[in-house]
Amino acid sequence: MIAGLYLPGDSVIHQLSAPVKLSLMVVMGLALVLVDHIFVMVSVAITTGFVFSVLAGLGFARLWLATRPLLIWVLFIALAQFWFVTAEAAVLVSLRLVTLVWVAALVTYTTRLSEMSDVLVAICSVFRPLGVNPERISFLIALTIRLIPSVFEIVRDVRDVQKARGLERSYTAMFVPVLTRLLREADALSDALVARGFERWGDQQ
Amino acid sequence: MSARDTVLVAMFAALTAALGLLPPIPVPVVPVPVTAQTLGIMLAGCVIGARRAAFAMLLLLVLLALGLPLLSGGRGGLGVFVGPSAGYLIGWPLGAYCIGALVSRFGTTIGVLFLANCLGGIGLIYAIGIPVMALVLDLPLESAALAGSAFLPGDLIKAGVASAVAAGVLRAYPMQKNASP
Repeated sequence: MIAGLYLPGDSVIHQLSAPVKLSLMVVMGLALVLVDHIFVMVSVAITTGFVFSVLAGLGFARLWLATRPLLIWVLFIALAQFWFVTAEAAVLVSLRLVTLVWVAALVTYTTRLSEMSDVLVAICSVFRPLGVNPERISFLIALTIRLIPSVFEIVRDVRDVQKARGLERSYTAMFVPVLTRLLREADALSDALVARGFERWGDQQ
Repeated sequence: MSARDTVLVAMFAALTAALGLLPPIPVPVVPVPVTAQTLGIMLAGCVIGARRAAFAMLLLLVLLALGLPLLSGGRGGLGVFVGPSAGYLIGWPLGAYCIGALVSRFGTTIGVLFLANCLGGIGLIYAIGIPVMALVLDLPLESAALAGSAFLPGDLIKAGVASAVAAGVLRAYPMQKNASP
């Protein structure tokens, strides 16, 4: 089964509501763009790191995990900026990137998937007059989460079958059967939905 | 959206996510690992048509934003939307739409599929991804393009694979007669 990135906890950050955290994230993102003094940037980064690892109780290991994919980019900035502009500019851009990613990761790690999708459904409800159907969107999300393991299973099955035939190096032998099975499966599933009156879901409002 | 549209959208979002769970394929000469994930974008565009493919990719982005680790390497969450590769992600629905539109306009021969995959799946996605990368990293566009070009050989291979696979699938399971208006 697919698990979200949410990490249970009872910190102050965990207790903030999802809309509050998301708004704070947007404000923080805009504010970070305006910071152009290196000492301000360093202290904002250190504070964010502290809030992430200590205040939210996510720990330094998790902070490192959130930072690691960025290191190659930071290295690239360092290489590219160093000669063109100044070392200070390189540090500023790197810290801005890292801090912004920390803030976003903090929201994801401390907010339940269900709370996040509640926010999404609330946003979608605003567009109901334009023909957007929030119930169908939440159904679509649930259906996709449910389908990921099944699709992965099909991919693994077909790979084993083709390996037994010595075809594990052929991409067409691998993916053509996967895709046709998915399409067949999709037909069966949509028939099942139609039989349960899906075409008229959520239309009564 | 009909029931069939809904299921196909969910199915191809799930396929693209599942392809991210496969271990990356190491390719000689290419400096970055080639993940199968962009294959999902191209296959969606070729097989289920522009509108459904774009919705499938948009749905995948929504799932990522909600906090599911569905990118290759287990990445996900809101962090990926503020990082340097955010532009590529934004390009996914647009690229898938472009591929679908080209295929429905020019047919499903393997040459057309390959050209559509290169234009929509590589060209358009790079055209959004590289400027965004330059903006996030505060670099001149040329340096960002240089960094982005590291992915080009892998993506060209994937465009070839996706075209061959899509041609086979469309032969085995023609979608045109079932296409929604």
